[in-house]
Amino acid sequence: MTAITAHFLTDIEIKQFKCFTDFKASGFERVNLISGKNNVGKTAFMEACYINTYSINVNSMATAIHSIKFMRENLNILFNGHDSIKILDSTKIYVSKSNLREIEFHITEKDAIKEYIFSINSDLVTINAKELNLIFEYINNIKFIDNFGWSDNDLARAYEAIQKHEKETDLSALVQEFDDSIDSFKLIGGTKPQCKTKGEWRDITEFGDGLRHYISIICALYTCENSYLFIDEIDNGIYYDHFDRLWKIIFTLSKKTNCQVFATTHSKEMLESFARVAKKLDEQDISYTRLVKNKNQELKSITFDYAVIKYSTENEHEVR
Amino acid sequence: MTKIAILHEGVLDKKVIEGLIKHIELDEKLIVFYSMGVKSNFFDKKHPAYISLSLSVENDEINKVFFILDADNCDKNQGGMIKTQEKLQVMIKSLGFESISRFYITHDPRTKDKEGFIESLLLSTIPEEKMNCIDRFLECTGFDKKGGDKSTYERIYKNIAHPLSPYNFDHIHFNELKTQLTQLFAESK
Repeated sequence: MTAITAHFLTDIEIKQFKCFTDFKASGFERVNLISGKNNVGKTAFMEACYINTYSINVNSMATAIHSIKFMRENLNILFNGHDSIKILDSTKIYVSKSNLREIEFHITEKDAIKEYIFSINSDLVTINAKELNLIFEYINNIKFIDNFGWSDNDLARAYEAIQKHEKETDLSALVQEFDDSIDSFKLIGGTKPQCKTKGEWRDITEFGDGLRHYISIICALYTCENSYLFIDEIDNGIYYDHFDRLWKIIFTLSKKTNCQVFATTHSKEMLESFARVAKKLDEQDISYTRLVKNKNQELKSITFDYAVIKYSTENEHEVR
Repeated sequence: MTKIAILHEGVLDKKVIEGLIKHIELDEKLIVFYSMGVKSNFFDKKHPAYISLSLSVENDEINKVFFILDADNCDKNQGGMIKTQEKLQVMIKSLGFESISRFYITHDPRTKDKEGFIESLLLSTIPEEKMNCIDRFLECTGFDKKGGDKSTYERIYKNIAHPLSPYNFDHIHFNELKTQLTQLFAESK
């Protein structure tokens, strides 16, 4: 691995987390597509990778563990309010080891004493529940786009990277390719994503969810420079006609910004498009991982590299 | 559903196997074909087909593997029934597939040393009088049976020898292959 890609997550062992026990996956490249049947654990797998990459210290580790629950519970939290400690408590245990770091989180309760145990590469920190003061430490260039899509605020923050790279015109051109009725995309007043159509600026909410998802991915690719981007249900709301364009953008931009991408899908068309575009661009830094349950109902991973993806699609093998 | 992998050389092998499976009424939906392209790829452990197949076997998606490849002629590198068989068995062992594999090496059963390929097997299944004509024709035209182009055999078979039905699967020369396939499916259950 060259210095430029030294930060890439290439393999992970999820010893304990949600549906995973002693689970191993390896062979990750720059752009990685994850697939598997419903409820097999695709999102949980991405969350496990996200927590591992995010855990550079105890605060960022707690932030990542909190974030994965917060993202999933977004709508409930909106109506019922939230208690950050309760959200953190919902993850009872997380243990993983990757080529980057070995981390562990668990909560113990003994003799009415509750403790939070954080460990990063054997550096152990034990915090009594009464003394726990959650300090969120966000890492701005590691992003997770969940299947509900990003809020206006998330998008506004990511758009800053577009401005920093002076790519506003390029983004508008890509948006126009996605929907030729849109002339331009902008953040009006710093927070309101708007599209110009027939000379009039309209809120992005007036357009389909696919457009927001598409713009979020492009902005995130610039935001996650030299870092990681996780996209759950990448095809969410996007018409299959646009899949090839989206992969072309992801392959090109991720290389440019040195961003490692993990995405999930269960769409056959999305997977075919991934293989087709990779072959067309001769993009070899890719992998495809399928999560499967074997006959003993144990969760396993099968990771294909570029050569095997190419071979399997040419032979019309069902690789989903 | 656990499936059976069939590794073959080219398009013709696949077509013949598909036809034969239908003919003996085995469930074609259980088959996943892995095209190896050329014979030498069968002996390359790093070939993408083997990587993909090993992963599927490991995860119980495939529980039986069938190899079908040409014997070729003895004077060729890796040619002839014995050399092909020996080399294939070494590969099967190195893949760890001994207990789940079967193989069939295509040849012309009329040859003393079991030489040949799928095309010559097909040609060996046509009625004897026609075959004698073709043998004489090949001899008269000076066609080099050993070094000759396999596609010429296929063309002769398709256009001259057997124009009415695609393959004569009831011929005795298909019996060994039929037995192998039937046993493979039975063991897969």
